[in-house]
Amino acid sequence: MRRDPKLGALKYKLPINIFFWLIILSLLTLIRIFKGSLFLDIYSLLIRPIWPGTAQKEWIQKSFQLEQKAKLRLIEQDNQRLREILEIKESSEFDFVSAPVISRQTQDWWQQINLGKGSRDGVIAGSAVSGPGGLLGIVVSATPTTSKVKLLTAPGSQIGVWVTPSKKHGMLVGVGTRRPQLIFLDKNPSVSQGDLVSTSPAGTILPPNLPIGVIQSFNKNSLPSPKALVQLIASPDAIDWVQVHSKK
Amino acid sequence: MIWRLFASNYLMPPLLTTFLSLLNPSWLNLAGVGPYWPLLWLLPFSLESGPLLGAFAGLSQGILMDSIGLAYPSQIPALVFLGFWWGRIGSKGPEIKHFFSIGLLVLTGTVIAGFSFWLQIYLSNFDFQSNSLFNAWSLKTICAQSFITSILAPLVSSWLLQRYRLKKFS
Repeated sequence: MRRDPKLGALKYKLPINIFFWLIILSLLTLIRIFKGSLFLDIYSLLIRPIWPGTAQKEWIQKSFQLEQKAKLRLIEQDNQRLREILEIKESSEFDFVSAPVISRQTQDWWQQINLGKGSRDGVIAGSAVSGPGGLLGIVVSATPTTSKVKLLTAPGSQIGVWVTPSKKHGMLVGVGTRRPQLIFLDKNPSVSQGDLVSTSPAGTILPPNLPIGVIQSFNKNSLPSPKALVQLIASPDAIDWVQVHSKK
Repeated sequence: MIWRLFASNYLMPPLLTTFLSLLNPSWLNLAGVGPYWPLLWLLPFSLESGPLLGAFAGLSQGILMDSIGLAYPSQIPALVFLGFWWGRIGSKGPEIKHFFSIGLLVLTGTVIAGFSFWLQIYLSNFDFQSNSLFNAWSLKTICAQSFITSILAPLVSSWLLQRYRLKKFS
């Protein structure tokens, strides 16, 4: 078969001109502006028959209850202490929505999961998302039926955290690897391996006292500030159902 | 008829690759990293359509991918460049026929795309003290993604290329 260089890929002459390409470009720009809303909703609708079953949802709810019991004493102590100092926001200010994971990219350049619940169920951008064990990520955008979650491990992810035993604040920064970096604001944070990292007990943006991970290694000589590597408790690779904490 | 052909050949592949990027089947992942789906149709399309349409296809696919995923790092620069480059190869270079050449082009394309993502991440998190020039995670992601994508390319891209050429000669 000989190749004819005169013929393009579009063999059939289409009634198209510059306006056609401008319309396509405008449509794509609209898709970009609305963050693929329609596309994601169609995707969610199409894969609804293969959504994860409810078994894991029940298991997550059970483990969530156990986790809550284990945390109770710590939260009570914190509440007592902080109520005396600050106008503390209680965790009851947040609503819980169980949502299935309908798409996941956990070790790629874009570390994100997509959930099958969106703004129709009260999920909004900025909501915290947790799985069994603790915080997984933050919702970056929501369509009526889906929401996009940036994982804590994703490059560019940044949240303020609290190291429980030493009561020090830090910034948890995603660097792409499975263990995000914890950058301390204090020059001498006096933390050690195994210390629990959680959301701030006085937090208003994220639910307070939500476990995140444990310190795996600590480099106090790092400049300009000490750094630690954090092993996350919740693993996004195997989770099919998550909890979204939306503000009431 | 013409619009049906247009839809099946030039609208379905990009939409399908976008769906597959979302679906990201775990059995096609290597070390947790899935194939870079957009390149599998961008290569045959650009080879047959020339640099300008190739770059436009790259831009369209990039906008779509940035919309459904996290817009950072952006996929637009890499896809526009690859569409243009493969379009030039298709119009000025020797005819690409062998599946090995297709695999090699996709391999190079995935490495270039991976390098573009890494560069964006690196430049926006630039920190002299802590960032090594090329960390192990980036290297692993580029290697795994280019390997799995180039393994799929001879199957998917060759078939699409053949389909475009058959339509051209029919």
